[in-house]
Amino acid sequence: MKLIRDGSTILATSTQASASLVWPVGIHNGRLLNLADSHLSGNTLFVVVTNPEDGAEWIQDGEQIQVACSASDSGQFTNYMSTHMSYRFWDTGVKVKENPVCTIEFATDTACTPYGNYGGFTLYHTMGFVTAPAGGIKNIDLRDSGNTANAGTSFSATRWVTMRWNVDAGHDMQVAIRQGGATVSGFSGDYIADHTAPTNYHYTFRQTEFLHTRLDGDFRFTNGYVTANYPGTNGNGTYSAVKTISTDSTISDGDHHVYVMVAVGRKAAGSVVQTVKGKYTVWVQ
Amino acid sequence: MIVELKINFVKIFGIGSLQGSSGTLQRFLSQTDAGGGRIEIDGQEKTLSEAETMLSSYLSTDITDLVDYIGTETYSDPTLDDWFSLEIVLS
Repeated sequence: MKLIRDGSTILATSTQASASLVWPVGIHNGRLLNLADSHLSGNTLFVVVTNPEDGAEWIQDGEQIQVACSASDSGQFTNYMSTHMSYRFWDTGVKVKENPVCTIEFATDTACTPYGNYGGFTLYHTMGFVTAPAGGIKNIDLRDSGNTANAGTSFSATRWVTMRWNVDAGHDMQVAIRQGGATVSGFSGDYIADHTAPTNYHYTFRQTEFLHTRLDGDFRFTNGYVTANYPGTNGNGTYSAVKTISTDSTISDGDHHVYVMVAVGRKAAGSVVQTVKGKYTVWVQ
Repeated sequence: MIVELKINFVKIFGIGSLQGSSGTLQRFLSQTDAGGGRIEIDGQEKTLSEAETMLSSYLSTDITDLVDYIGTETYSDPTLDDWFSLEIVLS
């Protein structure tokens, strides 16, 4: 298509591209994935667990995925994306250079159980996106260049949302949106649950990330955000919150695929297994 | 050392050129005290006094050019305030 500038108007010379623009421009083809339907086929890595008693158990339950996580040893804390206790990846099949908008939604009716094990026993539950070579899902090791590296030899970028469950006696939770080798920190205020009868633990989180090819050919995760609906102080479930990240994350190769990742880890050691269950839906388009 | 500050949208004032004064680290840190903000150093939450002790050698440094805006946090709940986050890498 050849573009001709005529005064302040840019005209396209190919007929099919010269119509007036309306918003939305049209259907943007992409991928819709229900992670539970993919039968937990992603890769699993245990990077911190050092004893046979601890770890994570992943179960498919209809359209939902349940993850149970235990950590009885004080060395099994999660400080970085790469030091979660267990994580899995799913290949979306979409390339970085397609400039996709990537969204992952996690919806739960039960939040994190068991309740009451708050404070030091808080569960870190993380979802997000990682870019890595096509066919490279078995090789992804978020620790291959150290815990604080934004990229490694097996992956080129990460962007993630950590949900920190059961942070207090009210069974509230908090959210952080981070990138690369950042620490698991920068959490929001409390997203309040209704823990008195009639209880309401229904939360929905939707993380959206924009991948962008710059004019100089660099590939980036640019702005991202996570919107949440939560029960709130009245338990009606009408509360919402938005947390954004404006830090660019460089991606080294436009041919790399966008993978979905889900991970669990623990803030500190505790004897009680923490479980989080819900439905994950992914749109990459 | 990475310093992350969470500062109240409404209650911040008086940093750097906004009032024609320098944006010292001390001045940025003090803004977290207005409206219940937060200071994290290398991922660990610190009180204002703890942070001032840890960063004592930088307190009078003008860090205006080192500050990166990294995100926001907003709520529909009118009882909760809105926030923004800054990151400062000190070496």
